[in-house]
Amino acid sequence: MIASKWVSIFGERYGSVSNLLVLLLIVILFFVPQLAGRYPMYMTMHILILSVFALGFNLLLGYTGLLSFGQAGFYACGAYGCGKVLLVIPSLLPGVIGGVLFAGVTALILGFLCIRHTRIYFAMLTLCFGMMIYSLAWKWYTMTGGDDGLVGIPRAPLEIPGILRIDMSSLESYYYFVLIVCLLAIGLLYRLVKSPFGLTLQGIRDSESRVAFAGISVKNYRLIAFTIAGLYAGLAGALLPPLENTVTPPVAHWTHSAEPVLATLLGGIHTFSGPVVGALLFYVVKDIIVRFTEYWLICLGIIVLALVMGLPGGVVSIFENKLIPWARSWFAGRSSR
Amino acid sequence: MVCWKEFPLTELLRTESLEKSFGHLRAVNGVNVHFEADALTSIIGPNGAGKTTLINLLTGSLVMDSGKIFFKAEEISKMPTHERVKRGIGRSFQIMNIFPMLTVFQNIQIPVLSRFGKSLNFFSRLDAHGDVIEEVKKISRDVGLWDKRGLPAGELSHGDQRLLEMGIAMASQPELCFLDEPTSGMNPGERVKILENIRKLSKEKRTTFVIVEHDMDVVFSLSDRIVVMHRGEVIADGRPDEIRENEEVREVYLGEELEKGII
Repeated sequence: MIASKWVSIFGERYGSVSNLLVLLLIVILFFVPQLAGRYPMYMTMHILILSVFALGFNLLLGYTGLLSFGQAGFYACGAYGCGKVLLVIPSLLPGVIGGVLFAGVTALILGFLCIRHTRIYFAMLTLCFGMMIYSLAWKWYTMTGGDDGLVGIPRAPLEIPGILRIDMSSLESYYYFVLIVCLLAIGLLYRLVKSPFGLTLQGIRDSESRVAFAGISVKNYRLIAFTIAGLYAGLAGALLPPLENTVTPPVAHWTHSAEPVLATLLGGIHTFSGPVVGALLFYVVKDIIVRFTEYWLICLGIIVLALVMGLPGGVVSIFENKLIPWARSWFAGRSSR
Repeated sequence: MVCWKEFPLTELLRTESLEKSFGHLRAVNGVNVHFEADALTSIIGPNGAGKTTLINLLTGSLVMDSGKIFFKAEEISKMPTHERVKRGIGRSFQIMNIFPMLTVFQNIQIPVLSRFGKSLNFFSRLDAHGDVIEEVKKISRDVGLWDKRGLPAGELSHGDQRLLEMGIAMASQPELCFLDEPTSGMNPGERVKILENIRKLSKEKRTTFVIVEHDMDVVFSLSDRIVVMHRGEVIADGRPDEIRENEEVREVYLGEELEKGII
């Protein structure tokens, strides 16, 4: 039953074929620690974190039509918030929840100022606020540890007093925590974009004035979308400190804001699964190129450029337009025989 | 025919010396108009007369410089668009304004969800709202786009997009609906469809239409009342036959067309 709920995550339009793919992917994800070593496990966690980060970002870009260049700021709020809490209370849930809420509140406040503008003005405002958060992380030594960052953050156990206590000291147990939290977050966002609210956001993307004439306050809806994107960036950030045991200012830098942008463009902005596929590609490509040159970002840039020009729908559009119809007709051909 | 002057009709919207300038250009200059329920009013005037600006002011798309607007006796001068829409004002646009990437069905679904107060539903499925689905079905049948409900709106023909825009505007069930050149760029067949729609909806008396139109055939055949604008001012206001006889109107606007023998 649970599985059948999850399979509808990536796209109900393509019916059984994509459902099967998603189910297969989730099963594989659950067996990564058994099938592969520590490094793939570590990489998968980063891919999952970037997926959540990029999905939140794409709620703004692909669904609401707002390009934010400051998402790393909220990611950093989540990371620093989580780190700070864990240094005081060594318990995983308060840490993660604290980080997410801190990022959400920050996004709500900054969003109030940003959503008054659209297009390039919005992008520049988010970039500015993102870099302000970066400066704070860099300069506010007593709070953030400056360029040393927060160090010695424990991978605290997952505990609910009196109910359960799971030790997180092994990488494997933390992997399952990250996996389940990310899958839940992705499933929740999928429900969101398929809801009346999600459709209204897409309306705002297509025509702001037409939505206003449906009696909807465009600004409020944008602010909600911005806050949700901030919460997702915060969640991505909050999952990081227990993994790395440290948080440093570069997580807030604008180059880090570019990661969800690149992942989303790679995968495709107009599909729900685009950012997830893009996050996977981002890390795989990076991992391969890094072996040959340290200028991997240039190579990735060229790949993104080629994709954006040659395949504006992103990699997922190949699946949508070619592979899935093909697989479908293949299945249909078989069953009719 | 309903004659707006002789019957004490309910007043829907009224303006008091509305002003709007763009730089040195006074686009709308001290306009006092009122629109009554169930009387189909047309606003005509030469290019640049301020017709679209007037509509933009009345619907809240533009902020006026001075003056007042009342809708059903409530002042709405400073309200944002979406608040005015909630009180019963709707519009269609001169330049096509639909949701091109969404399907025809979804295009109509957005305003219906809003009218049913369900837009802020975060986690329910779209097809879980049966009442909304039924209403969208009804509207898409009314505008004749039911067969094309699954197509992305951007792929429709120009005429169908116009029909769709009308459907979107009607989906909010406005009491007062401004149509800015509803037949522009349409072929004769499509034009008839749109006009039939307007006539039908107008007869149902749920919505009062105010139309900005250049096509004089449309204006004189459809309207109960005509308001003529010139250089940001209202220069005439009356029944179609009165407007036809009005000297000033003939001079500034109709002269050309009369010479051509169109009217």
